[in-house]
Amino acid sequence: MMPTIEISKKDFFNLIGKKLSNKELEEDLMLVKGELESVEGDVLKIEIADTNRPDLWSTEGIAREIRTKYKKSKGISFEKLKSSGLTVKVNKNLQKIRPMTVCAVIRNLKATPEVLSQLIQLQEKVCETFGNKRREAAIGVYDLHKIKGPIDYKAFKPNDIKFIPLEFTKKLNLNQILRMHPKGKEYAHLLEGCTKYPIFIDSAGEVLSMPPVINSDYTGKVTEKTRDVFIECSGFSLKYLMPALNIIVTALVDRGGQLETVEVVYSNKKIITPNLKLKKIKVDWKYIEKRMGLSIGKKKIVELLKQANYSIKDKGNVLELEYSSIRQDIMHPVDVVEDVTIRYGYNNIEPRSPELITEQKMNKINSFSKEIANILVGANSQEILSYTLINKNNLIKKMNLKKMKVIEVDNPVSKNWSVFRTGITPCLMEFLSKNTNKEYPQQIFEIGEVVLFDKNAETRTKNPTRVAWAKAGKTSDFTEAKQVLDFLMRTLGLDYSIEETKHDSFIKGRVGRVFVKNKAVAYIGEINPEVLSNFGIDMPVCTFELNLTNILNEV
Amino acid sequence: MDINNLLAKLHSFERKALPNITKEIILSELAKKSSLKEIEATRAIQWLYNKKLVEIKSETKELISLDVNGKKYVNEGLPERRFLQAASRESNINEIQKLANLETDEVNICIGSLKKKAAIDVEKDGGLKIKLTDQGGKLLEKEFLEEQFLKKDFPITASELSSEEKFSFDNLIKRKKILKKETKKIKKVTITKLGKEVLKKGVSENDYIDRLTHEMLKKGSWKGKQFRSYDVSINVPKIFAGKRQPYSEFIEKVREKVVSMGFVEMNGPIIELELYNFDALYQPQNHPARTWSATYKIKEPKTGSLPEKKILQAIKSAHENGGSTGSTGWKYEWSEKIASQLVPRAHDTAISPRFLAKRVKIPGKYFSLVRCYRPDVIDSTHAVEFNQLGGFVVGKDLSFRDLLGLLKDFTIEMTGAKEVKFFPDYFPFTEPSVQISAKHPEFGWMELAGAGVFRPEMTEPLGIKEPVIAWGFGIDRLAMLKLGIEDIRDLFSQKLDFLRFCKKVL
Repeated sequence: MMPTIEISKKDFFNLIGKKLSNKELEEDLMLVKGELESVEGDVLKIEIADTNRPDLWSTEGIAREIRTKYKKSKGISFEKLKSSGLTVKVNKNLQKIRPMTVCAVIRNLKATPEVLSQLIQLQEKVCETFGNKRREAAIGVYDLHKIKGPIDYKAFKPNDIKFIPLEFTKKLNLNQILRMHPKGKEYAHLLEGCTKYPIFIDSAGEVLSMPPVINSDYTGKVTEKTRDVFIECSGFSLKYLMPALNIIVTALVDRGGQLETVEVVYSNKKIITPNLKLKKIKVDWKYIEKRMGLSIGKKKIVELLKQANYSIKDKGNVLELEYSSIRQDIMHPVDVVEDVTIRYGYNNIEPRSPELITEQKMNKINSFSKEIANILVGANSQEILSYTLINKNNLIKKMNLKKMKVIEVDNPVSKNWSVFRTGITPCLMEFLSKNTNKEYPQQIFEIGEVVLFDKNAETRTKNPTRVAWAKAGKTSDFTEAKQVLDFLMRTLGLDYSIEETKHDSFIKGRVGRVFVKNKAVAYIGEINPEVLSNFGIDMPVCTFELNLTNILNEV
Repeated sequence: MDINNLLAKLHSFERKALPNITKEIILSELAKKSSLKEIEATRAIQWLYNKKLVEIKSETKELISLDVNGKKYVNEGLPERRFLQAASRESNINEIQKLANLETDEVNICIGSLKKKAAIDVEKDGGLKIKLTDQGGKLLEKEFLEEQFLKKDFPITASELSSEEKFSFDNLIKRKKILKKETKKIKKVTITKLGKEVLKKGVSENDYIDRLTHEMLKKGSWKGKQFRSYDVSINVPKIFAGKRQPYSEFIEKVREKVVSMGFVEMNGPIIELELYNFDALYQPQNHPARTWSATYKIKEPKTGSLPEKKILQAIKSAHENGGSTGSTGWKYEWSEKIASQLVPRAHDTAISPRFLAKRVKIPGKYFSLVRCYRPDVIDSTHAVEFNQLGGFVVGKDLSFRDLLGLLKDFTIEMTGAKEVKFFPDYFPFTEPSVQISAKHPEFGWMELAGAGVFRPEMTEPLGIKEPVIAWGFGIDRLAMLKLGIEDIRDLFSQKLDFLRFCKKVL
């Protein structure tokens, strides 16, 4: 799902150092694949199409990309960070629970309401979308002055520890929190099956939080009075945790906060976090031109790369690029190509129609289907169209059939669309049943695919195309169905024969199997009155259903 | 209009009816007198009215007519009459019931009704004993008011009842299915001055030929006779002949259009391997779109068979570390088992890797227009089953600029739009990615298609070194616009009348 970000216009203009009209804003939002959803007073709602760029999901992130259009980028560099002196000790007993964390400290934060609301929003979007609903990454922010280091990250039995969760007034044990706190209820499933739960606790015995669920009310509440914060991000893999933490701290640094590192001590290693070391990629500038399809020259490319917050070392054809570690989406030079192309402006490119000599061919079964439709229209029939997903009851029970192997959806939205049709006649019956108050005769047909089991197929299924025809009316009988089938076969130049057969959807003795060159290709007959009554139809119905895939090669 | 001319236009129904409208007459009576069916008489007076030969007044009237039991009692007599007669011979209630051949509920009604008329006395003496009063004796010889009432010539008009009749009516209407009262529209017809003049000329039937027959032609008996003139502007009953389903026809036209632009149509299975639906499109296995909510899963069978190892190995490397594509990959452990799972095709792009891996000619243009399935909220713009149109062009020197050209051509061809605009977009399998919008004269800018250059991590494992530009159109939305349909579910309309009456989209 695409994240929608709410930002303050005033705050945003402050960050980019310029006021924009709504039209300019819409234009500039293309730089972040953003679309202005709504403007209400000072509040802008922006939908960001890129689900792989969590670094863009805040005012700071959006401003970071747009600012460089108006203010020359200073380029990006990596400065060695100061240590906060704080240590987090990660206990081995978290191994199968939530074993990893990375942390940081930000000092001298000017926590204005805008800064706080953006921090909360970014934290939420990163955890929900990038962190897969807090499973892969959950972030906590705390008032540093209420914490006495070192901090332990350790698993506790639910009854061994109590704390006051955020916005509550009473101490609760861990099971109580999961049961009673709204966030507890929402995220309890992430700790399902654990006998111990993860806890951040300081050296004074004050609980910071139970990740990925809830902070404590005392340390985990950040207000406008908060100056210095401790930030942790917990989960299972540094692949998610590092970018998540970096995105949060980069946004706070953009707000003027000073970043300091934390020492995270594991049983077998020690790491210093965050690590904002720049990432590198090499790109041939001619490759960029080639993929874009434009000769804009190296100088222009370098200029656009700078706007896109890259630092560039010019090595002739190859450009060595350095970029912020929060850009975790860059995997291949094509990602750089896109950044340059977006900066150049999609709408500044003159579209060029590719001129290739190629063959033209419609799928055989589709052009055949069209011919069939036109023949049946000539036979006075109304074409209809149904979904291939239908109600299992219509397919089997109402058709007076017993057991049938069908492809059934495991997670249907409604039972009306829960199995794939194995035939089209049930769709015609359903259609007739919805139109019993309309003028008769009703002569209808449908052409489409069905889904059948085929254990030898790669996908264990096959999808022959069929045509089903039906007539409901006072005179409907076997003869009328056969007349239309005969007209169709005659027009196609196909010889056929019909043998009596058994089929519970039809009246006994009035149902036939149709053969073309010894291949069974169709059923034809008068619908069993029991079936008609199941569908609430009080007119006789005659019908046939013909496998078009089977006769395609005979025509 | 000339009187003779008018005469020539009269239909045989009109000829039969007009002579009977010398004074005001109600329709049902006119039908009887003219030996026409009521529907024929209705038509006749409508046509006569159109020719200004009669006036029609419509009144609503409450009409009283006999119901099932009422008709029965007219023949058999009222139950209380039979009861009274039996009671003159027997006093035991059971004997009376037997003798008069009455149902138990009828007995109660009889007792109530006859007591009201002071015709009987009821005594409780073991069982019920009935004794005729003097009045009862007299009534044996005299008709009840209700009986007189039932003899009337139904239907009768409620407002015209005398007070005695009203009394009988009130008694009888309470009882089971004797009478029914219905509000009916009554048409009263009177003749106009012009009508009288026409009548004076004589409207006898034999002078005009109404329908030319095979017999007349064979015998030549039509010669020297006049044909009745028709009112050629008259409405005729509608017929419902053979017709295409509008959305089905639209899809067919789109197919033909795309083919005419030099494309080859592809097709693929409805139930698809996750490998083609996701993995071959460089969507990591932990991508949110692969979780339960956005894709259908099926109950049985859970897995299918995967293609040759070489392609699998290449896809695996692309996901894990980029393989030989020059990419870092998604950096996770790729699972063959997940790739072998079966899902209903969630987007048309699932077909592209199948063709890229095997059957594609370079340069080449390929497309598909197929049903796709996604569990979604169902409302006027979302359906769980929908059509997607998509495809790709592969060629040695293709670039993003060519993609924009292709998109623009397509959009203009499909929508007739004059102005288009591009927006940066995101798809896991294309880079750069773009969305095209077109300006609709009524609805403004409309999002029409998503597109992009396939990522090398997607194409190279399938053995394609050349650039591939790919696009996908939301065909349902376009169809709704063209067909003037506001609810996406109506594309698959289950309303016969909609299909019968909708106009063809050219």
